[in-house]
Amino acid sequence: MKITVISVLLWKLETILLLKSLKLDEWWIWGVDGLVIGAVESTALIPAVEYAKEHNVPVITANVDIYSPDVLLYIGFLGFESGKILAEEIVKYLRDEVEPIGEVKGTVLEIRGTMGSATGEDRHNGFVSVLDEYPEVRAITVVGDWDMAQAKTAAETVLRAYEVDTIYGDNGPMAMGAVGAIEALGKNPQDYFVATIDALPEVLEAIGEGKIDVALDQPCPFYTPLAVYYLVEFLEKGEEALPKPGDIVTAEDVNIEGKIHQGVDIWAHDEMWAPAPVVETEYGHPWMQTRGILVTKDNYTLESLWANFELEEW
Amino acid sequence: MNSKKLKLFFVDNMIWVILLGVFLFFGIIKPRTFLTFQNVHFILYVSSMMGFLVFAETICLLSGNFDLSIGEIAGFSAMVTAVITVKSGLPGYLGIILVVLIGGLCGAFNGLLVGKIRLNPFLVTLGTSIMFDWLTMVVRRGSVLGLPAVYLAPGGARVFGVYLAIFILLGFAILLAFVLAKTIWGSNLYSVGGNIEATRRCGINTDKVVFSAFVVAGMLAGISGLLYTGYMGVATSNLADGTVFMAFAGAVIGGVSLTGGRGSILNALGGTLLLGIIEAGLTMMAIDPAWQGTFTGVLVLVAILLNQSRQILRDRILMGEM
Repeated sequence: MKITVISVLLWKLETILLLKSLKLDEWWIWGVDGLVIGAVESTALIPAVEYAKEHNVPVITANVDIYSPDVLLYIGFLGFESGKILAEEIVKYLRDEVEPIGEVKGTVLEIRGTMGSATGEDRHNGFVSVLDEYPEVRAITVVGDWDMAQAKTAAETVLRAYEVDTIYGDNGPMAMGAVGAIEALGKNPQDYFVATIDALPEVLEAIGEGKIDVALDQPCPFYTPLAVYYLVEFLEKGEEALPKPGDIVTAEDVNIEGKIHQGVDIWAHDEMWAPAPVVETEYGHPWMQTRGILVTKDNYTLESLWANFELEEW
Repeated sequence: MNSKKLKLFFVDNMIWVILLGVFLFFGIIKPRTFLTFQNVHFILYVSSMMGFLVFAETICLLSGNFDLSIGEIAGFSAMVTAVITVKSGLPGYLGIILVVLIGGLCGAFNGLLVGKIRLNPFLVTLGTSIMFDWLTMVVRRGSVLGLPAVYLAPGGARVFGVYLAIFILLGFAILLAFVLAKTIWGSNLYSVGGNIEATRRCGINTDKVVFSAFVVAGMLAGISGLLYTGYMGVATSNLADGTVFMAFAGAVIGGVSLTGGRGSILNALGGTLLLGIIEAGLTMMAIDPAWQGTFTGVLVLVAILLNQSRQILRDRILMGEM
């Protein structure tokens, strides 16, 4: 099958509104056979997915899900789970490293992404779901809107007013902003436990320098290739070709002969996403849960981390 | 100064009274952390980037126009300069000149369309803001690291323990206030913003004045991009995104008229600092961020209402009722 991929960025609100208003009519004129959508918000595009279904155009979601039963398959890591895993790391640190040792007590600064965005809400909710079990932990939450400068200002403001033990960033740039804030105050980032989702190149560098303690990395480069792969499988072989709830998808199950893109053969690093268990979402479609990896000073130089790929644009 | 003049001075500079009131309000709630030199220093520093965007918007507003693209100009000029500086090994001081020039060029593009071709400033700058936003992504997606220390200094270095950005902000506020009050260009700008037709009939080239207002606004946005870069130590592709509305808020809180011809740079600086104080104060209270945003909106509204009551008070004083 010859595939032509048309990429449209959906992360701008105006694009979403545009798509909703157009009801994707123009896309059908172009003869689109299927859609892979990585949305910003999980409900805004539900009407678009319903419309696609009416026109027999299959939809697979990647990275961020759309809460519709008409989605064939969702491929992505759980933001909720990411926040939870890092909160557990923070709890471990508070128990083992912060006085009184053995008790989970202290102050945590959380720098949130944009409120109301699916990714932001998921990551935050996962994080507080763990911290809520520890009444002696004080969580101070600020919004960084995924932005380094805003996060730096907010973090410095809080650090001026409170004794903070650990910092959690909903994404890498905001954690870097927090590190910048600590340094601007003339303090040492190594005196804080800093945890973040997404291991960007600068985050890896900060981990190497001991400024960030742990990052949870997602297998971002694999989401859309896997989605395109399953879309083509569906178009050629039908629904039977898609993974079902209860399956565990391994690297061997996916027959992708990927090319080297920008000097990197990502398919030599299948362990980044596989094995991926498949579960049923509450929205009535299967979800292939790709793996995530905790990055610390012990493994930050791993060549399979996408941030270690030597890409021109990063 | 007689009693009437004193009252007028007080009313004209009401923003500073509001600012002091809000500062003391947060000071009472968090005395140990808010009422400190370090906190004032911090608020001045983090307001410096936004301050230049407020100045840029103020210049446009005074000319009877407005510019929706200043935040995107800041981001675009900072990114282009960062890429050129790192790739070509350009010395930091040339980078500083370049970022201002690129900002000015972007502003000139707006100025050409609004001033010379006389297109609607809302539509023009809406278009260019989208264009500059995406052009930044064309230039680079991600961050630019490894910028020269000299280039980062205006936004990040300290002089005798005080951030250089604060001196730059205050220095430009004084310079722009002088230019607006004492030069022909300044009086032409107010005149064009107050009544463009009457100004044209006086023989002043109004197209040129509007064009130059956008150029200056672009250059000030470029300086904001420079300060943002220094503040973070890197140039990011979403630098200064979404800042335009706060830039409007800063200018309007400072008493700059949305219809042009009235306002002062120093009071716009007051508006900027008030926004900085509100943000720092509410963040230090560690309340839910959604409530924090709501209170920010309420405080901004109250500040605008108080400041807008100036005109009524002014009239009363001039009519001898107060």
